[in-house]
Amino acid sequence: MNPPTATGSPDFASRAGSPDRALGQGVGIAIAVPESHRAGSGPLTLQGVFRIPKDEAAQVRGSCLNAVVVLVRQPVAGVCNPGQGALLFDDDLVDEGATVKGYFNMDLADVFEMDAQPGVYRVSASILHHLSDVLAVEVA
Amino acid sequence: MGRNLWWLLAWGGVLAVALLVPEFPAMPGQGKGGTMSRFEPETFADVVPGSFYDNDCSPQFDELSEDDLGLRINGPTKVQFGVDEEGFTPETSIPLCLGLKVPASLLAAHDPFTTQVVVVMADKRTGASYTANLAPQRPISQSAKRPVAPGELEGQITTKHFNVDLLEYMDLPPEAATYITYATLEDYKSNTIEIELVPE
Repeated sequence: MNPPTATGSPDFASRAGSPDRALGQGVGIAIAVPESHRAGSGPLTLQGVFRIPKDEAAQVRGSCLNAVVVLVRQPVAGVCNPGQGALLFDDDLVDEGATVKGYFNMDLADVFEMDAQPGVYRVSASILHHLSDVLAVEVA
Repeated sequence: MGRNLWWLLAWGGVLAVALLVPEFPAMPGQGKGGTMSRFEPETFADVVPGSFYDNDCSPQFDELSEDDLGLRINGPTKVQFGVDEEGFTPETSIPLCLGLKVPASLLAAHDPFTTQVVVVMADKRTGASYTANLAPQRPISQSAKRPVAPGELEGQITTKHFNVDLLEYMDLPPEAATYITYATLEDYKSNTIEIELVPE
């Protein structure tokens, strides 16, 4: 899976199940994934949300969604940027004054071909210096 | 006469050593060719890639605290590199020092444990990202592979240090960039650092 992988077909909308509660009111990044997934049963959706200061977001060329990194390990690591190559719009980000907030959703099974290799995967995401928790997904 | 003979013997000895020893082993920081990469701080020139020991650049843990666990990294804030027609010049390196303090059973489950450590480098400006498992690029000595009996490591905490050259793992473009860098191991995530690559 090394190194940058295809981007699949991510979207950048707030959805039911987006991990806003895990993010709280502070800056950072949070993700949610199912604890288990049966291969061939459909998408394995990662939902993510981040909030970063505007001056940090301004360091990224174009939209700061370009700086979102999703990392999957089992144990060999693969990484992708859901924002890279995607059609991004200004309203993909929520202007909160001093901070910006964004969402990202993607099918991990499609992007990382996880259905082809069952096992326990560890998933995390980052944007600039902000790292999410590491979550485990069992693919059977 | 006797004094001249002693001078002749002394210089003859120096010449013989110079001719008989074809190449002295590379010293830390000498790099793979001749000219070393230039680092800030300069102490990273002494880091030996592939080594498994604590050095002046290694991240540290509070050994007296049972709560101070995790994975930490340290790297140069700036690396000056050369470019040739094939990309980075052979002597270019990007040293990274890693330290981990984790349950010993976690490391014993994987041999070598470095294969479980994953490093991510993300270009701060473009977001382009790279990753690699830190599988050893050089053989590990047998003494590092002592078999462990089941339950032997129960409740034990271990601290390890190792050092790598990120260019041996990452297919980075030979261009100016600043990379936000971090590592993960199982459920542990490291601190983040910034490494700026500057062409000479």
